[in-house]
Amino acid sequence: MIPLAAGNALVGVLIARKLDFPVLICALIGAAFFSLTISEAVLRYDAVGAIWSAGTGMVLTMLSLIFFFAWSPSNGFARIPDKAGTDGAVGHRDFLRSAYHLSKIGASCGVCYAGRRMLPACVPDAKGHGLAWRIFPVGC
Amino acid sequence: MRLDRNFPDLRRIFFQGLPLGVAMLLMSLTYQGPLIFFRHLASHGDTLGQLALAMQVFFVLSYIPSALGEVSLPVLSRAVARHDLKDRVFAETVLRFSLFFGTVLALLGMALGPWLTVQIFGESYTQGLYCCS
Repeated sequence: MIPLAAGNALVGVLIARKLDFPVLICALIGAAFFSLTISEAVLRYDAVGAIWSAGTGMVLTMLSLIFFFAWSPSNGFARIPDKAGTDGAVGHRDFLRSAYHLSKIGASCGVCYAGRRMLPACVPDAKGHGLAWRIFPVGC
Repeated sequence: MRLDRNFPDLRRIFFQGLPLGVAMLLMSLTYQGPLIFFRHLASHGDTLGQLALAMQVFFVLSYIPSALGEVSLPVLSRAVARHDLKDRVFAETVLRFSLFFGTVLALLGMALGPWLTVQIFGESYTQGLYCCS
């Protein structure tokens, strides 16, 4: 529920700021991570793996949204490293800065992991199954 | 009532909404996807049914933040137009509250979830507790 509630709020803010493409990128990151990890997670941990994979995808989407929200120049975040500057939201700076750095680290780890999973999956295995088979094992 | 067949305008609206539509579709994949993918991978139908049942609680609860996000959109749009940074305050407040209440909800779910599931769904659905836990 944490990533869902936070994600909904951040999507609302980003849509209000007319930042539709960052929302699309965040959704793509979360969906790609989920699609790449679900098969192995289910094979290893059954139903719990499916829930964990979906939850991790949501968390990754939330972290990406936090990153784009904090990175967005319209909230004055670009001026945050300048400690002397005061843009009227001093009380919220530390939290936003912490969230920004946390999201940067978390989203980077998630993207790296998904990339690490995706690259070997692109290479067809002994039976000739490639990336599509790993994502949709039965459909293909 | 008559359809205004102004296709250039319709096309413009369609392409403006397309990225957001695809984003919403992909976001729904992360919480609808487990059932879709698990259907291909599960060996037993009853396990899939138990997973679907366990996830119903999440689906029902997910309407609360979705509704909150939708009703806040007009207010956020006005805040962005005014450049008063209230949208930023809103996002940070929701982040803090979701962390706090999400943790409380998770602890309550772990403490009361097994008992509550039996009370709601009955003894025959206790297998779903394994999915919840």
